[in-house]
Parts: sequence; C-alpha cells; structure tokens
Amino acid sequence: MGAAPIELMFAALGDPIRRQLVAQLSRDGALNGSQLARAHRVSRQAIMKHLGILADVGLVTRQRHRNEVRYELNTDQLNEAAAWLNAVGAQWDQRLAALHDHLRRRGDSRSQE
Amino acid sequence: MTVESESVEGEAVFPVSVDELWDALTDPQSVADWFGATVTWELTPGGDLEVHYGEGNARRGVIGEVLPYRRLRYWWWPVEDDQQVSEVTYALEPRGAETVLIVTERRAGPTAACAVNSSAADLAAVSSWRWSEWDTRLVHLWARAQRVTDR
Repeated sequence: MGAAPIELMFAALGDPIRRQLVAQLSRDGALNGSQLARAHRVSRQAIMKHLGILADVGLVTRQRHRNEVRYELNTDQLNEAAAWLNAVGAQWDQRLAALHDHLRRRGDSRSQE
Repeated sequence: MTVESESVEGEAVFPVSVDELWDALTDPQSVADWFGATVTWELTPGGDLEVHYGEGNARRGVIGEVLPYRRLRYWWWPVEDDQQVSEVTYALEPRGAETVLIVTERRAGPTAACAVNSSAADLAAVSSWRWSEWDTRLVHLWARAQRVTDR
C-alpha cells in the first residue's frame, strides 16, 4: 500500500498496546504474532487486530518466512517526522543563541552611552 | 531544544526585562539582527507575516495571538509549499530581573507530526498523542474571519 497520511499513523499510535508493539519491533526486529502475543499478555487474536491496524497505516510490514508471517517495523514515516523535528529544533537553538548575542550587544551599547 | 509531543520546545533565560525582550522579539529591526531573516508583520490577530531569508527563500504566515509582553503566536509556512504549516508560540515569563522565553513550534496541517525522537522505541514512553485539529485551509479561513470581525 502507499504511505498513509501521517495523521492516520499517529492516530493508530494512540493505543498504548500498539505503541508497545512498535517499541518491541524496534527493539527486537521481526517477530510473529504468537511471539508478540506472549510478550504483551493479550490474546493472539487481539494482537493480530492491532498489527492489522499498524500495517494499514504503513507502520509495520508483513513478511512470510517459511510457514509463518513475521511483522517488521517500517520507520520511514517516523524518520521523516523526526527529521522535521530535528531540523526545526536546530534552527531555534541558533535563533535563541543569536537573540542572546543581540540583547548582550544592546546592553553593552547602552552602558557605553 | 527538546521534542515533546508533535512539537519542539526551547526555553531560554535572558537578563533583561519583559519589555526589552518583547521589543527584541517584535521590532522588525531587532528581529532582523537575530532571526537570520528579514521579518515584516502586522502584529495583530489575522495580520500578515512575511519572512525573507535571501536567495529567494521565504515564508509566509498569519498572526494568531498577540498578548503584549506575554505571548505571541503565529502560523507560518514555506512560500513554495503552503501545506507545511507550523504554529510558533513565544511565551514570556518575568523571573526577577530576568525573563524566561519559551518558544514552541508545532507541526500542523495535513502533515501533522507528533512526539518522536529518532528512536521508535521512545514511542512507548509517550502517554498521550495529539494531532492537528485544523489544517491549512482552516488557518486561512480563521485569519480572514478575524479580519472581518475586527472591521
């Protein structure tokens, strides 16, 4: 499927179990439904429903491995959001440092008058 | 700068009064000295905002809220892509002879972002998720409505 709107992705992450699934897949790599159900102490059926929602918004991908289906985290969209946050944060760091300098220069010029 | 929810937030303490800091944040000549761009704006809710970085790079925006010496809020976006809207807030708090400035920039519109660090594992630590309740069109409509109301 194509990339889901990023709002849908974050809406899917509104559920704490789905956030835990994302965190675990990030930590442990590809896992099957049974492994994930055991780790989160919920039924396999419930886990499959959550994984389906995450897959629909493009956060996880399904991969057939021998006789099982494994789920793997797809971080492309998360990385895009993180890149924006990092870039904007760096810009404001620079501006706030420049504002410090500006106010210091203004204070210095006043004290010389 | 820290990443919280779908926004970045920075806090700095300046050894000046609230009046002096507000002036530095809003006077176009002062802003040009520290912002890294020429900023022209009509400091009233619904007022236009233009930012020119040189070499053709520019942003446009609209003023959302002006509470002199306390808070300034605006939305802005790159001229070449008005879907990339974000909301910027300056909040000023006096602290003795100093003033604390908290700057927040929140991604909004169709590409609303939220709390992520580079590591997806951090997602588990985020207990509440917020996303945009408005989009670019709403920002423009709101600005127009505000102007009509002011008249």
